[in-house]
Amino acid sequence: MGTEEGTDRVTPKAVRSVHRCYGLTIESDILLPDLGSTVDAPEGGSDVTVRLGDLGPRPAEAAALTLGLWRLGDRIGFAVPGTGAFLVEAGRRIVADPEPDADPAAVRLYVLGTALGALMSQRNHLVLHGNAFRVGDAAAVVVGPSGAGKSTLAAELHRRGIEVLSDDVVPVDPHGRALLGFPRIKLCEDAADRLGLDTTQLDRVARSVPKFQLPVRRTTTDPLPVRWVYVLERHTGPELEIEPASGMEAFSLLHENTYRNELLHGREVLDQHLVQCAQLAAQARISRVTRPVHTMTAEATADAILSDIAAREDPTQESA
Amino acid sequence: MTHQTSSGTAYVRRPDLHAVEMDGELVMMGQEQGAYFGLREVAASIWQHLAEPRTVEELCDLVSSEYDVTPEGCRGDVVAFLHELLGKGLATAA
Repeated sequence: MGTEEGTDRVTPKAVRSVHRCYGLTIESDILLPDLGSTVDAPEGGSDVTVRLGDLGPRPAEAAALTLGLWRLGDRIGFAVPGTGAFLVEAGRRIVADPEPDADPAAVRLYVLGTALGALMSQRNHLVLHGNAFRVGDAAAVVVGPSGAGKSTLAAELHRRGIEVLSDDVVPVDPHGRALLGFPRIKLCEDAADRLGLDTTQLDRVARSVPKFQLPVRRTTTDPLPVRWVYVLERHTGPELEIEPASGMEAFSLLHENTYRNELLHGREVLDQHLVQCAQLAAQARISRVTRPVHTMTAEATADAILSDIAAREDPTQESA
Repeated sequence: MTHQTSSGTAYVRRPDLHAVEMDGELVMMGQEQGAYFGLREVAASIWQHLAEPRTVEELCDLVSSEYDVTPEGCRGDVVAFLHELLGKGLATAA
């Protein structure tokens, strides 16, 4: 409505490329190389559009959330000082309004991260903050706070020949399936060093973000049902422990690890999120992976998670 | 503010609270957005019964028919739980 008119900046011979991501066609004014090769524009229009446009300030009646985020009806907005303002509307439209000197890579980062994550939640997906990897015909998801070592673990799994389905953002569809994310893992230099990767051979995520992109190859093409969720935590004890969580505790873990959970606002949104979490908990085994703070390594964490999965090949059989 | 329960008064849960079942536990959000809590076993059962107006006596009879306890034996716990629900605004006198 209010955003429709006047937001389309006049772009001389706009570069509109069409990509596929999360099973959707995305037509974009901004080049999105992270999404891999472009595809033909579908007849009848794309599922999602990404446009450059002028965005005003946050609407006065919008609920102001933390981190510059706001929410009003089917609109979610946020501003990133030095980069720009962004609007996500009705699960269909993203508008980016970059600042004049913004790093294009940083703009892309917010379009494909926070904005697309918010858009998937508007499309009734439970969006988790973590990564997913393939186990047979199912997916295991590893979540945890920033800095918990999720991406390092993903890179370690990738090194072992395990297919990494997504990194950082895992949208789970209404059928409980993890969608495929972008074909890369974002690693900090330290993590890349520890894994023996040469960062001079890798692309940097953005000028202001000291992370590197490790490309991963995928053979999976369809979403896979989530059977395991591992929550990375740390403790001061000596041993790595994996303990299943249930009920209220499982819900709290999923809530904490919902991507940009600051956006969970308003009774309708919160009720929907609660139902999504309950559905996921009914089909997936949710466990805490508590690691000793001083001695934890990606290798040890990968070993522990993989042997936990092997010990209960299919958790759906267990309670039957 | 304290909430008194008196015999003869019927109580009912708030109808608009959305609860989901997770591993046998009822998980729901209270009156305050983002404040969640879980109810198990007897508490979950009392919550279900409060879908309709119930007196303390009725609740005690229901609990004793489901669990190995006499109505008198569970009365203290039933009243305490009801106080908690009233205090959090999750149930009201019908």
